[in-house]
Amino acid sequence: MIGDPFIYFLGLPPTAEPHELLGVEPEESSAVKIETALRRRLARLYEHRDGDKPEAEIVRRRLRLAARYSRIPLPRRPWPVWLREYAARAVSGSGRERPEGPATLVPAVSPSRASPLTSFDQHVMAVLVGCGGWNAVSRGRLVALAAAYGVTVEGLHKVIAGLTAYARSGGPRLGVSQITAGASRMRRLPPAPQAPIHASVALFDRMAPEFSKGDSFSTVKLSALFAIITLLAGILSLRLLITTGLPAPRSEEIAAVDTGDAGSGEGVLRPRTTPTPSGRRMTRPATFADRPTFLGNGLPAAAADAADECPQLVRTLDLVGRKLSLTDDPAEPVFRDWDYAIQAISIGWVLTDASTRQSIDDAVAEALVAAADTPTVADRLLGGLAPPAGRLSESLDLWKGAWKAGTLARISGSNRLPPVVVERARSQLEVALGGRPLTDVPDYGAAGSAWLDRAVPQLVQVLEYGDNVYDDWELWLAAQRELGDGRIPDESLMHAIGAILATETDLSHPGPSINVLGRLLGLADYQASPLVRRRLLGFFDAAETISAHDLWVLTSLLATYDWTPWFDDRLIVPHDADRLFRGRMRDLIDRSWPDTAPQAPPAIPGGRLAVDEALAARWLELQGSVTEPALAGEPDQLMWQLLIACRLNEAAAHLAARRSPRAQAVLEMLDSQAASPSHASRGLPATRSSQTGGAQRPGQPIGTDGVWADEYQALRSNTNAKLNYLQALGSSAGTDLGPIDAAVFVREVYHGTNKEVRSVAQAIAGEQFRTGPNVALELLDEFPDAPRTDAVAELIRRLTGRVLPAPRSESWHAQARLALVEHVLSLTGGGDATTDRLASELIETIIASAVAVAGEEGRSSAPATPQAAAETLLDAWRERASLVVTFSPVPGDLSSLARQDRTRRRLARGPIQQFVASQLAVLDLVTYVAVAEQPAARASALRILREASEERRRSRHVLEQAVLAERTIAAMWRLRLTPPDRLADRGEVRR
Amino acid sequence: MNAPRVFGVLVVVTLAGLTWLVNAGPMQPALGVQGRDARLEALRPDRPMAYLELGEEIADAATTDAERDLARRLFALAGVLDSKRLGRSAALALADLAENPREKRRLLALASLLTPPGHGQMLNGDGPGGEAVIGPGTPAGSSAVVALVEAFSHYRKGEGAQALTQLRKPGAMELLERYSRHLPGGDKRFLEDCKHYREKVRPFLTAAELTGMLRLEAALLAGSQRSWSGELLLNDGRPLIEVDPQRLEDALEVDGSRPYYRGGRWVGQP
Repeated sequence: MIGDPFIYFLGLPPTAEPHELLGVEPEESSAVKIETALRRRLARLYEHRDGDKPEAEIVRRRLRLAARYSRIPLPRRPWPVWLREYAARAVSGSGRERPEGPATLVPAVSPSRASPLTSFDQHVMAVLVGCGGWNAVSRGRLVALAAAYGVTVEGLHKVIAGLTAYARSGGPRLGVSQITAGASRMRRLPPAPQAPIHASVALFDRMAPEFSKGDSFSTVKLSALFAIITLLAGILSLRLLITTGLPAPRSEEIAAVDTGDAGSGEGVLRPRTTPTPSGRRMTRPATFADRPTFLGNGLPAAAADAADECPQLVRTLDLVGRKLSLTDDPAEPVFRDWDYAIQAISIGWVLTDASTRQSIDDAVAEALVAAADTPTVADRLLGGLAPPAGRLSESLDLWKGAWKAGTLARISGSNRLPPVVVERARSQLEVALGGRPLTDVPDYGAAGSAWLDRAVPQLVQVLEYGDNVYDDWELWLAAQRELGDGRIPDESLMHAIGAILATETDLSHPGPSINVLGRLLGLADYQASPLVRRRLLGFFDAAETISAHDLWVLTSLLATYDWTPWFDDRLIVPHDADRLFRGRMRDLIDRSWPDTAPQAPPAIPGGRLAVDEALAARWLELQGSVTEPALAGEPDQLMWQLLIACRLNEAAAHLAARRSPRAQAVLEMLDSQAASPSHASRGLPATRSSQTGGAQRPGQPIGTDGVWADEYQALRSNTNAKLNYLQALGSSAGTDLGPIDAAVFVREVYHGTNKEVRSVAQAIAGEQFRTGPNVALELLDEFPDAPRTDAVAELIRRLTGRVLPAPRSESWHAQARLALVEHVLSLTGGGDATTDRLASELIETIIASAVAVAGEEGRSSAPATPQAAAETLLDAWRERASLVVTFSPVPGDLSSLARQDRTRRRLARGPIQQFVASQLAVLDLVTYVAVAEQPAARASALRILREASEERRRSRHVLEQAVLAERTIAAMWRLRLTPPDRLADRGEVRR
Repeated sequence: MNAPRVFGVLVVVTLAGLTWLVNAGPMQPALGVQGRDARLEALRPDRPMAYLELGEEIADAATTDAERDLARRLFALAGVLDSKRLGRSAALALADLAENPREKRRLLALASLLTPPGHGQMLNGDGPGGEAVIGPGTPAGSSAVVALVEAFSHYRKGEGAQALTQLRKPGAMELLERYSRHLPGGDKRFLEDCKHYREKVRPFLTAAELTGMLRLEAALLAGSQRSWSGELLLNDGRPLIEVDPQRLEDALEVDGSRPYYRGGRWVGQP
C-alpha cells in the first residue's frame, strides 16, 4: 500500500515547499540548477519500483509545478497553489476565519498560519521529542506508529529523512505547539502494548485490601478461601498419585513466548498444550506479541553528507585523471584527492542516484587509464580501492567494502584497461573475497554482494551484544538492495538467515537475533524463487549446525505471518524433532510448497508461448530478413552474421521471458544494423570494443639509426662511459630506437657485461622505450638467448603488463615469449583482430540469452570466451528442458541428446568447434521444448533439423557451421513464436 | 622304363598336383560382370562378413566410379548389418575410398568412435587425415612450438644457421611444413632464406609479412587458450565433424533395409 504518495516516494510531507521537493536552497532560482534538480528527482521516481503507478505521476506533476515556482526569483515568487489549499483546509477545520492568500507578492517562506506537518508527521515528531530523540525506545514506538498508519518500515525511513531534510533546509521554525500538537493526539493512539499482567499479580492486587483490613469478616473470608485452596490441592495430589499411564508426548507441550515490544527485551514464558478435536496433537507455534522485526538507522548523517558531495567528487576525479595524463610522477596532493574522493564515494554511494554513480564509475576508469602507463601510479590508485579487511570498525565499513569490491570487479572485467591494471585489481578482489583464485570475474553487483555476505558472520556474532546491530543490518540491507537493482539477492538473504539459525542463541527468546531473523524472513521470495525453496529446505538437513529448536522457531514464524499463506500449523517442526522427523517434515514442506512458477511459461502440449504480440510480430519479420543473406565468404563477415543471428535469438529469449523492454532494445539494435549498408557489405561497423581507446601509441625514434650504436660499441669495456651513453638516451633518443641502435641496446639489456649497465639499460627499456616497436621486436628476437632472471622477468612484466609465472617454472619461457609477441603486435597495429573484437560482443549477447532463459539474474560471472558463454547458455537450456513433460520427445529424449552432445565434444577440436558443439546441443534442446509446446510442429521441426544438418555437412568453414546452427535455432524460435493458427504457414529456414 | 622310375614319376606328379591344389585356394569364379552379379545376388543379411569381403575385392580391382560406388555400398551395408563387429572396419574401408579429405576425416572420426576403448584411436590429432600431429598444448608440442618460433627470431636477426639448428629439434620441421602457408614463400623459401641470411644479414620483411609471422607465433604459443583469430589462422576454419555412431545408416549413407541385390537393384526382399 502506497498511502501518501509524497511520503512514499520522496519522504516528504505533501505540504513541502517547492525548494524542499526539489532539494535545493530556498533562495535558488537558477534555471540550470532547478532543471538539474528536477531531472534528478524525476529520475529517482522513474527508477522506483512503483514508478509507473498513478500515484507516482501525481508526485511528478507536483515536482514540475515546484520547478516552475522555483524559477521565479524570491521576492516575486508567489505562494504555491497546493500550500494555499492545505492552509485553507487546516484553518477551516479549527473554526477560525479562513485566511486570504496573498494576491501577488509574498515571501517564499510559507506563512506561519498553516502547519506544514501532517498528523503523521506530528506524531513522529512527538515520539522523537518525547523519547529524547532517535534511540531504541523511540524506534520501537515509531514502528508501532507506522503500523497503526499502515506505513511500512521503509516508508517510515523516508518520512524521517524528509523531516531531517526539512530541518536542514531551513524551513520555517516549528513552534512548540506544532511539535507537541502530536502529543495531544498521542492520547488517541492505541496504547503502547503493555506486558501482559500475570493472573497471579492481578489476583494479588484484588486481594491486597482484604489482607490489609483487620476485621473478622475479612478474616473469615480469607480463612474460607485458604481452606478451599488446601482441599483442592489435596484432591489433586490424590488424583495424581493414583493415576497411571504415560505422560503426554513432550512434543505437544510447547512453550509460547511473548516477545513484548521490539527491542524492549521483555518476555514471558507460558507452557501450553492443546489437543486437536481429532485427538492428533499438533505442535504449537512459538508466538510473538509483535511481529519480530527492527528498524535501524539506514540514513547515517555521514553517508548523507558524502552523498551530497558526490557530484562534486566526480569533478575531483576528472581533475585527477587529467593531472595523471600529463605527468608520470604526479605530486602527492593528486593522490590525496583521489583517496579522499574514493573514501567519500564509498560511504555515500547508496544514497546517490544511478546517473551520479555512473559518472563516478567513468571517472574512476578514466583516471586508471591515465595512470596505466606508470605501474607505480596505477598501483597506488588501486590501493585506495582495497575494501576494509579484518573486523569492521564502524557500520559504514559495510558500504565502503561493498562499493570497493564492486568497483574492483568492474576494473577486473574491463577490456579498456591495460592487463597489468586488470590483473592487479583482480588480485585485490581475490584477497577481498576470501583469497581463493577467481575462475570467472563476477560483475559489480555480484562482487559487492559477495563482500557483504562475507561480513555476515561478524554481524551475526555480535547480534546479542553489539551496540549498533540494527543500524548495521539496516545498512547491510540497503547496500544489498542497491547492488541488486532494487532487490536483495535471494542467495544473500538465505545465507544470512542460515547464519542466524546456526548460532547458539535461543531464538525463542526476544532479542535482536529473532528481530533480525524476522525481518530477513519477511524479505525472502517464497513464491518465485527456487533458490529460497532449496535453501530453506536445506536447513532441515543441516542437523549439525541448525537445531530442531531453531527449526521450530523458523517454522512457527512462517506459519504465523503472511509471507507464506500456504504454510500452516501442521508444518511446524517440534522443537525436539530428531533427524528422521526433520527429514519427514522437510519432505512434507516440500510437497506442500506451491510450484515455483518458472520465469518462462511451462511447456504445455498444445499451448503456445504467451508473449507480447506486437514485438513477436516484429521479431518474426526481422527473422526473415536477418537470416536471408547468403553466407559470407570472409571469416570477419561470417563472424558478423553469427553475431546478428545470436542477437536475434537473444531477442527471442527476452520475449519468451516476458522481458519486453530488453527484447525491444535488441530488436531496435538489429533494425539499425540490418538497415546499415555495412551490414551486407565488406565494411564492418565499429564494435563497442574498437571504439575504446586502450591501444598504445607506438613510439618514434629520433636521429639517424646506427650512429648511437657505433659510438656505444666504440666504448668497449669502459663501464662508466657506457653508463653515461645509456643515460644520455633519455635526452637524445625518442620513444624508440632504429633497428640498428635497438639491436645494440637490447644486447646490453639482456647481456650487458656489467650488472649496473644491465640494470640501467633495463630501466630505460621499461620506461623510455616502453612503446617502441623496434625495441620491442628486438627484445622478442633476442629473447631465445636471454638469461632467465628475475630482472628480465620483471622487465617483461612491466613492458607487457602480463602477470607471468616464476622465471624458473616450465611454462615461463613460452608465456613470456607470448607476452612479448603480443606486445609487438599491439605496437605494430597487428593486435586485436576484428574476429576477436566480435567474439567479445558474442559473449555479451549469449550471456544475456542465458539470463533470459534461466529466468533469474542471480549472481553472474563473466565468461572470458564465446565457447564458455555458450556452455552457460547450454546449462540454462538444460535446466529449462528438464521442466518439460512430453511423451514423444523430438529430436530425442534428454539422455540421447546428452549422448549426442558428448559425441560431438569428443570430436571438437579447438575453441570454435567447441562453440559449435554447444550450439548444436542448444539447438536440440530448443527443438525439444518447441515441439513439447506445440506437438503439431513436430514434422516441421524434424524437416528443419534435417535440412540444416545437410547444409552443415556441406559447409567448408567452421564459422559457416556456426552461422547455420544459430539460424536454425532462430527457425525453432519461429515455431515457438508463430501463432497456432498460422502454424501451417511457417516458413522454412531461409538462407 | 622300370618300375622304380615309374613310381618316382608318379610320386612327383602327385606331389606337384597336391601342391597346386593347396595353393589354388577356394574355388571362386572370376570377377567378371556375371560372376560379380551372381555373388551380389548370393549376399544375405545374416552373413554380413560376405558384404565386406566382396566389397574389398571389388575395391581392389575397381577402375571406374561405378565400381567404387558399389564397393562403398557393400562396406556400408556390412557396417550397418553388424555394427558391433564390422562397423569400425567398414568405416575404415570407406575412409580409404573417400573422395576428399573432409569425407575421409569424417569416416575416420566415425571409426574412432566405434573403436572399443584401449584399441587405439583413429583420429588422434589435427592432421588432414586425422593423423596425429604434434601440436600446441602437448608437452612435445610445446617444445616444438618454442623451437619453431625461436627459429623465426633467428631468421629475422639474420642468423640462418641457428634457425636451421632449431628446426632440427623434434617436431619443429613438421610444424613449419604444416603452417608454411602463413610464411612468405612457404617453408621451402624459408629454408632457403635461412641458408642465405647468415652473419647477421637480416631479411627484409614487409609490415604485413612481419605481422603474419607474429600472429602465427602468437597462435602457436597460446596453445589451447588461443583466440578465435588464432584458431582460424592455424586450422583454416576446419569445420566440426558431425557423425553419430548410433545412427550408422545416416553416417554411412546407406539404406540398411535394402540389403538384397536383385536384377541390378538393391531391394528389401529376397
